[in-house]
Amino acid sequence: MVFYLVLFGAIYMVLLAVASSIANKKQAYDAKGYALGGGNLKFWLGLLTYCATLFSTFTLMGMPDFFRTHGVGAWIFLGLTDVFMSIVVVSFGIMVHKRFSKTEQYGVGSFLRERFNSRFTYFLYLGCVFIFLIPYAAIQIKGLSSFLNLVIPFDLSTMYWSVFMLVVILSYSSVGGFKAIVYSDAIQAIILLFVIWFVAYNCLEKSGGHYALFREVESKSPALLSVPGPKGLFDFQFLLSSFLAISIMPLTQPQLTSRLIAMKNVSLLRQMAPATAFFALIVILPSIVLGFYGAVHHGELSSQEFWANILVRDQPGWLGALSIVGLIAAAMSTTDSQLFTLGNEANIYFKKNRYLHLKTKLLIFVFAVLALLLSVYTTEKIVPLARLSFAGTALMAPMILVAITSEPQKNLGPLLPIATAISVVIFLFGYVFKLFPAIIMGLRLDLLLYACLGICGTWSFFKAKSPAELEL
Amino acid sequence: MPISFKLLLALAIIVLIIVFSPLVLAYGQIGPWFLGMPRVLWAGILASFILALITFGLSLSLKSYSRKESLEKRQKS
Repeated sequence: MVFYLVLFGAIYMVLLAVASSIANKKQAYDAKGYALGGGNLKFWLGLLTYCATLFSTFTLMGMPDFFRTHGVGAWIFLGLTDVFMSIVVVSFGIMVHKRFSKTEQYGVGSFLRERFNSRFTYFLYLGCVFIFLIPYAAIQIKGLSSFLNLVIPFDLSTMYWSVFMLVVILSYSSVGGFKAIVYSDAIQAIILLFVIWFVAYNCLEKSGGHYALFREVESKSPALLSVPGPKGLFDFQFLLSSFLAISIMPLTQPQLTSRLIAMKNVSLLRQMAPATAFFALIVILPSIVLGFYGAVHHGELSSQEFWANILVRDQPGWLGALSIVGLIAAAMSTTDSQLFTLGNEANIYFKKNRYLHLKTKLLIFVFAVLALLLSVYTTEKIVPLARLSFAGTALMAPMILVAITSEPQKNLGPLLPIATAISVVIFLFGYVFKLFPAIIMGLRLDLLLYACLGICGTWSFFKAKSPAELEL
Repeated sequence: MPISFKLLLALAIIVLIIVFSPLVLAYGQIGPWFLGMPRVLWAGILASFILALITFGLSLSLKSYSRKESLEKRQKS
């Protein structure tokens, strides 16, 4: 396996270097061009970069572990939700693209600042994405570093792997910018698809087909074959709140929103939306096999040991090596997108001169160092933040939706940003610091917050007045 | 938005209501089995395929709508 690991690792690094070199030659030098790579993504690149950013190491590691530990409800949790996400893209993503194509704006934060006529809204948005995305990046780096330390037969610490990944990310993203990230995403998406299907095929062959696999699961752990699963996780409220939070991610997670805006035109975005749905299906379907194979053969192992067995030790040497490279690529493609987008969202107060790129790169470097420090000094508080990142950013959904769907000249008022800020505080106090109960009057706290923000959003939308109406 | 778009969206909502109802999310019930898979799984996968087809339909609906709009604009000018 060591030979294949070095070979595939070297090929991947060369591909990254070539991609960033090509991207550097095509780099645009205005602010919007740098942030969105010129904003001319064609269909295949747009599809692959969007899917690579969406499907992180969670697809290859987290999802099989969810099937193994919590059962069939994991399909509703993520499979169905990711497919429905494409409907959000075709419904609202196109609106976002049209809005941004008419302006020089490229960041959601600056868009919200303009729509709500309030700097507070910009800082609220930036604060939310910072609080929820940096821990997610940190946990991803830490999780993968620990896994690599376990499976790779070189005596290298987790710190080494964390630093290595971040140095590679900063190298190609600073050389080639958004375009380099897009090209590397495309490479990663292809590797991910290839790896997950080959690993699933091997597992299915060893199990004697899916009929035999499910019958074995039924005899060993029947609770995995129904909801809410053996640990009771996938009950109705959890599945509903996760569905709402995940399906709205194209609008609430800036690294996904930027890819919608960067598509060349609305027609290509419209074609991309159903393609993402089918891509989600073909990427997540094999994880069912991995998960239930793990339930039968590795049911008692820890998550780390399960991943080490199913992705590396149970596979032929070349496939185990490719899985490792695929995982590194997956972690890097999600992390680089988050860091790059954070940098571009935060540079709004920099002057749009020839030093803007340098300042943005410095910002990205700062965020990368923060993510590294968090990954090294992870505490109990960081892990829930990471797990809840999509739920936390979803709190901004009503604010973003109202900003997108209301008429540009209408004054939206301060109600929604204030309500969103209060909700974020309650969310953090409830789920991270455990100062509020997670269930209130039989309802999950996050569902209650979504309902309240939904009401505030509806009120703001219908009460918004144009300047002429305000004068009257 | 064209009527076909709204109808397809309504269909997507109906699919979701069915999935999140006890018809699919029946606590503790594994069967009925279909193609060797338990209820939640085959129903969930089937619903996902239907939603993917709906997305395709929405995309086509918007395409014909925008073509119709640009044709009308050309005729007016």
